[in-house]
Amino acid sequence: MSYEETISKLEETVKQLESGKLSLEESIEMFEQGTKLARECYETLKNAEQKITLISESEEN
Amino acid sequence: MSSILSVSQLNRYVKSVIESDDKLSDVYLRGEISNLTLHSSGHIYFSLKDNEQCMIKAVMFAGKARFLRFRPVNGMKVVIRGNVTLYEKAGTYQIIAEEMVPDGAGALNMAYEQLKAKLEKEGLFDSEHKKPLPTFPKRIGVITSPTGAAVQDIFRILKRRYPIGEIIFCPVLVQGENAAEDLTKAVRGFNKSKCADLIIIGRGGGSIEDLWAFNDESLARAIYECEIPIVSAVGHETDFTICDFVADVRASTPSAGAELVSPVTVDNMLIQTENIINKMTVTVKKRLDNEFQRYERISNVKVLSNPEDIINNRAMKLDILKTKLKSAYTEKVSDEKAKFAELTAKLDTLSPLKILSRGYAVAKKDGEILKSKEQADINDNIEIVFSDGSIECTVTGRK
Repeated sequence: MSYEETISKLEETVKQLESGKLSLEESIEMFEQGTKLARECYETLKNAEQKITLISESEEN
Repeated sequence: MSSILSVSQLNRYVKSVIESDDKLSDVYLRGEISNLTLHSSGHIYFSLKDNEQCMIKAVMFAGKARFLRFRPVNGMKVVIRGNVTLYEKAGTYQIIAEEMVPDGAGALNMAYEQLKAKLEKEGLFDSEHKKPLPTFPKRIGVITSPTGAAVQDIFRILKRRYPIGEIIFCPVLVQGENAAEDLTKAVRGFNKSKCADLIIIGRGGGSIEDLWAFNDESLARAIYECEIPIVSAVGHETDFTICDFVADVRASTPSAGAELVSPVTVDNMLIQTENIINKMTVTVKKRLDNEFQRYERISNVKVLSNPEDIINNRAMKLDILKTKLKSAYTEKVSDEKAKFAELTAKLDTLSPLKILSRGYAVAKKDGEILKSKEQADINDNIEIVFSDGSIECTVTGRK
């Protein structure tokens, strides 16, 4: 999952939590899931090392 | 005396002499255009002259003329590459131009303004056609020279701001004869393979001649047709190229271009992530607090905190009932007793014994109370009952 996907899933989780429509059990489950997603985001950002791929225009044609 | 030649023979001979001379083929020639005729066939006829007012006739055939990146005008300084030959019919020698490029800043400026006006008229610069840049590009295409400062700047800035993006680097020539073609092919290549979410195309600063490749018409069209958003980052703040106008976004420098394609830096994202975690934690904590308060409200009710109360209450109630029952019973019993006493008292007063005790007696015959003298005959045995017993008697007479 890309950073963007993870962060938008996390945002969705928070939105659901904020809606107050979940049962307490669901809330806690969501919270656990959210914490996991947040950790993933954090790891992705902290450990990101730029990948550089070299292409030549002749290859592309 | 040698043989007499026809004009044609002479011209043909001179032509062959000229054309066989290596020094007269692939000649680069600088001059100013005059006597220009843009023929409807597409051929361009003109003369080139220099400061010394020397002149040579020139022609560029339609097949080559259509590749021109500018529209020649009289007075324009140009450099042409071509082959010297002789036009047999006129006996004039001339140069057949294969290529022609504007020469010097003035001419380049003129060509630039011409092309800009033309493409603008065609709508290549229209703002409606501009594509927005993605906020989180996964792959960033970079089209620039592998050796310049530009590529270093772009890589350095992206590494600092946006290391989660992948750089797809397509090294190209950015100046010189093949630069425009290189750049055009690179843009087309990206558009075909779609191997990037956006593209930075550019180079560091330089003279107008150095930046000239970015004013190429084919490149402009390739950029216009490219479905991937393109950031043009050519030269310095003050340099404007056709590439800048036709690209979706113009960055003043390659560094600025790298910043433009990474609007949300990793630091921003870390802060964003932390904010989300905080928000989530606060929300869940609030929820838990609410639930806890709710629990407390309920558990504070006595029934739950002292369950024995329920039993005590019941017992108390039971006791009350018991007492009530008891008193009710007692009351009832004493009522009955009183009634009984009353009745017995009444009975007592009515009792024959009571009457007898006052001196009366009852006469009975065979157990039957005698209520009339007629019930007993003479000599009958009768019983006289007193309050303390009875006596037996015989009837002796009647009155």
